[in-house]
Amino acid sequence: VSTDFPGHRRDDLPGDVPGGLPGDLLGDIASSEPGLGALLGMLAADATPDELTGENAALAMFRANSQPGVPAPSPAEPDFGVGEFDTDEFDAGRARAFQPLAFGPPETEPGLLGAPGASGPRAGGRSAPGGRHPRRQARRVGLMAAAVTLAAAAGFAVAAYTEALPAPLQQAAFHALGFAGVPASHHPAPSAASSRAPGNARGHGSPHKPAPSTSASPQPSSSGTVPLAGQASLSITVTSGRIVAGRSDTFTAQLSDKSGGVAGASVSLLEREAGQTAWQLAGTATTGGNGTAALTASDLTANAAFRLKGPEGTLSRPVLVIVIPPVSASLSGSNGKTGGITASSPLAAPGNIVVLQILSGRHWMSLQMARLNGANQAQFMVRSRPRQRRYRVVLAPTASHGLSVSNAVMVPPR
Amino acid sequence: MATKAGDLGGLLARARSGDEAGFLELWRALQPRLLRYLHVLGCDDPDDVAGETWLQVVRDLHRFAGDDEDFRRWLFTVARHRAIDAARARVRRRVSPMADRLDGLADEQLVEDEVLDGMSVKTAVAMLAGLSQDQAEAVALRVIAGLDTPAVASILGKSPGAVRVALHRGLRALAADPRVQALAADHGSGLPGQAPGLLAPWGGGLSEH
Repeated sequence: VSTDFPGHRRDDLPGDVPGGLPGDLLGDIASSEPGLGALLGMLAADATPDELTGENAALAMFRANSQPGVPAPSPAEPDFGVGEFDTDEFDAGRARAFQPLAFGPPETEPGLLGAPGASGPRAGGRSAPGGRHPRRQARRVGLMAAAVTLAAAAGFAVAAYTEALPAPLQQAAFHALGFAGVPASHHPAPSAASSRAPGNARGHGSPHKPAPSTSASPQPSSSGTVPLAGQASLSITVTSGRIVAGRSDTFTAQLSDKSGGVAGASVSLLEREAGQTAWQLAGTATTGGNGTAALTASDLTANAAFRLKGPEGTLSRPVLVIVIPPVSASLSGSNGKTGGITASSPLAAPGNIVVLQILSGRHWMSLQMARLNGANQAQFMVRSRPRQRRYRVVLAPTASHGLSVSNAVMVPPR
Repeated sequence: MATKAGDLGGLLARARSGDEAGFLELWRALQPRLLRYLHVLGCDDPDDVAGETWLQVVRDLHRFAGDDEDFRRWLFTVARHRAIDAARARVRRRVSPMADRLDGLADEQLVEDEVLDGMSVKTAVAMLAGLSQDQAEAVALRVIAGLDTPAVASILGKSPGAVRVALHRGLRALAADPRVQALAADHGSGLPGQAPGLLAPWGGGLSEH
């Protein structure tokens, strides 16, 4: 029996290996050295969650670069990545070029320790060919242009979403991105059909709990009776911004005009939950003597943006409330050799990702990843160790909720 | 879930035809190995270099002609070149790696725990990176990248015989490491046959020859 490495062939016959090993080098050494076999196994083990964090970026890169249908040029050799330097240079200076990769001891790498003369290419290395710089510069300019374009587009989109654009631009954004939830330039007052009681439009169908300090109204009261002196401003302050799922958060409105706080004006709390495209009425309140009012959104079970609408179309900036669904970990059985850990998060959604972590020294290391089943639970199996180990479960954040960390559970020693 | 070598060829074909799901599976199968290889090379920012590598691979994928082994050889060759570029850029910027090294020293306090846990890929990669340059690269390209000896020799610009020597010495050095011997104790008898998944980089398990 030998191990079946890809490309693990008998070409490892050690003809010129001192002391010659019979047969398949990797397989034989790994078989005769149990610890080495385990070590090589780890090197080739399946991905750990943190090794796959760039998945979305990779996919975006593929989308941006893939050119389906483009006929392949001549069946040339693929570019082996020597675009930054000549192949000859690479071949000739391979060993020298590789020195900076932290293999050599510091004394052989004076440049790495900031010694004089270390700023240029390494001694013995050739200077860059003349054709290199324009190409690299062009690439950098291209990358920079792409980055600026992306940043501008992102800024435009954010401004459009928050209705911070001038009316014509907002209208243009609405036409272009309306399907993704960008509002039109006018701010439609919540209609009777779309309005709802506070806390009643949360995700996951949670029951309605009336907010204590606000009065929900399908038709926000008109503020026409409250005269505003000059340009009014409406600000919003969120008390927490990060709450446990099912709890409430309180917002403070401050309506001011040229003469100071505006009392007796009606302000509406609007909410846009993750995944929704329209603002919904979440409650109303009347400002007090100093122009402030408190509004509460209760029973929040999904991330949501909130903003205030005041008299004469005044709008506040939006604020975000992140909802944290509790996640718990419990030991579901231990037979001396293995232990089961059950993760449960009733307010998360089936399919959400949970990651099992182990405390190693002072650091938590990710071990396994699973998805919540229909009962919002996931099972992990761990090996019992010679000494007691501490585990916990992390619920990965989604658009609907934030990251959540469970209690720690101890798996007894074997 | 490990990806078998045959599957990799299928994923490669799908990716070449523009299939996003195929590319994603291909990326998931190879990205972890790429990152581990770059860690062994001592890259300051393996994620960044891996991103550069995939960027070039994606850009030139339509020009690629070959099977899954050729693709792996190409991928890791590009990665090595990008790592060299990154190292050169670091020298040009006069960046001192001392801070990183101090961080590494701090992390070494965790090594014992991690090895005793017997499940840390990070620790295994760090141990491999502790070998000499020739040995570390030979073992990494052979075990992590799953390339055969001629391919490794081609990438390193050495003769196959020299690669075999480096591979042999590297494996022996690893086997003599007390931490590896502690692993053997933790794994009981630790014979590969008891944990076939561990020695099957592409899920091939053990096979009779």
